[in-house]
Amino acid sequence: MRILSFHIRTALSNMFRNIGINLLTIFSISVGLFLIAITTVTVNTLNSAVSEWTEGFGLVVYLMDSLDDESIKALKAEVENEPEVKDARFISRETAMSRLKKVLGEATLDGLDENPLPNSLEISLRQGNVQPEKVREVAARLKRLEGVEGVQFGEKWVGVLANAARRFTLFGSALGISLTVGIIFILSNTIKVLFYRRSNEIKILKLLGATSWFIRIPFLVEGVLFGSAAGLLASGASYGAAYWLGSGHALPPNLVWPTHAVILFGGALGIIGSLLAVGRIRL
Amino acid sequence: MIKFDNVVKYYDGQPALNNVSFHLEKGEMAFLTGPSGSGKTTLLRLIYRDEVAESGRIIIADWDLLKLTGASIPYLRRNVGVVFQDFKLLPERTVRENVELTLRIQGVPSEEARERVTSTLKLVGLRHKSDALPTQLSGGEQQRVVIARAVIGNPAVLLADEPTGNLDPETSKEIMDVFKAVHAKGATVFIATHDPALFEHSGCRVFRLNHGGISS
Repeated sequence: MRILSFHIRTALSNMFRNIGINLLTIFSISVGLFLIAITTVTVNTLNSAVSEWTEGFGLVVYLMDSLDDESIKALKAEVENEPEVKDARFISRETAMSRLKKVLGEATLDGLDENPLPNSLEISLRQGNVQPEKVREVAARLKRLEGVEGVQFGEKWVGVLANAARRFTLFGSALGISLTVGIIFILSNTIKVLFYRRSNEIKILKLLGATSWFIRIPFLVEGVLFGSAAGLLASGASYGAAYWLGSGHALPPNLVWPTHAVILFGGALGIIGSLLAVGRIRL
Repeated sequence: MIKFDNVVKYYDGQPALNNVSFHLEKGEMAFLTGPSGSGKTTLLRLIYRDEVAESGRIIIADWDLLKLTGASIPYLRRNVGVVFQDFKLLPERTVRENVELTLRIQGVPSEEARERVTSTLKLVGLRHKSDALPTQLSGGEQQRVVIARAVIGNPAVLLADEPTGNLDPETSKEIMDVFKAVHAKGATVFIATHDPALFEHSGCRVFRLNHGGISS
């Protein structure tokens, strides 16, 4: 601990000695971290919106006309027993007709002698079961149940939404990975330059009996300080941007966490960058 | 304490040291002299393992230098204080920080380090300059900072390479007094110099290097 506090003081005084160039480095790293944080917040927000939208999504199971009340009750219970099903609501043919009349207008359906609509069950699925493959699988299983005439669901829309969310996540991940690699590269090169700039000092430390880790640790500390300082800047900027994106309302913690985590992430990249820089240099 | 057996060292195919053998007792103070380019600095650098001999045997305290692994070198150097001819001070650190560095490397706690730096700077007469940067000091003062840094870790061996090279006779005498004080505490002191005034009438053994060979 004693030694570490000495190394931290050494690293800080080294950083302040070249404050101009170091601030420039911190700023350029913070731009990368800002983009990572804001992309993650955006992807989180989109995924959350898609998930909320699809929560109310469901299937409609049309029932055979021959089913009596008892059979319908039994079939409803059977459908509700399916693990992916959140709930099943019985819609009588009369309710279905009155709904249709509301949509199309009373006059349009006046000419009908009898109600052609079947009884049905409206089914909501549990969250996490609205991927196209899963919905298709559940629909096929329900269709096989006795007394079921047919199953209808918005397969196309499910696919489009899930695909959009997947693409956003993929794009965000690719951007995040590229920026992370870039930041590590900047950090590693900065530390390497500092290392060579202090080669005379390092030579003296070695002659005084310093071990290679005694020489390396201040550079590792500097890497962490660079990363964390840049993370702090990026955190403030991305939180502000997220607030602005939320039209002046603070986003919920489950969406906005990357704006705080970016401080730790910056520190971690600092360690990786400086380890890559000083770990490979022979002392 | 310091033992050379048939040590050979080449530079660019030319022998800098040729079958050099000598032995310094523990707690002895001795001088190494010879003309410029005779190999004095090379011999000292072999002692603190800044150079490696081609053949022969070098023993410093319990260390056999030709068998020494890279990881052990820092621990040898903590036992060998060196007063470098070109000082090797860190220009951006204060006198106090330069001297304290030796103790920090050895893991001495900060409070103890602070006290030892103060008393060592007092020993070399630089207590009042502890917050100055090396560039703000005269040559003689810088030399004394280097001596303070070399002796503060209580090394078993103290080496000095032309410690009075550019100093006036009075400052040279003061610096020699510091070496004598360190020697009186039990350290083995080995001083390379081409200035006969330093060792004449000193009562110490003098080793002469010439054309790569040594005589006493």
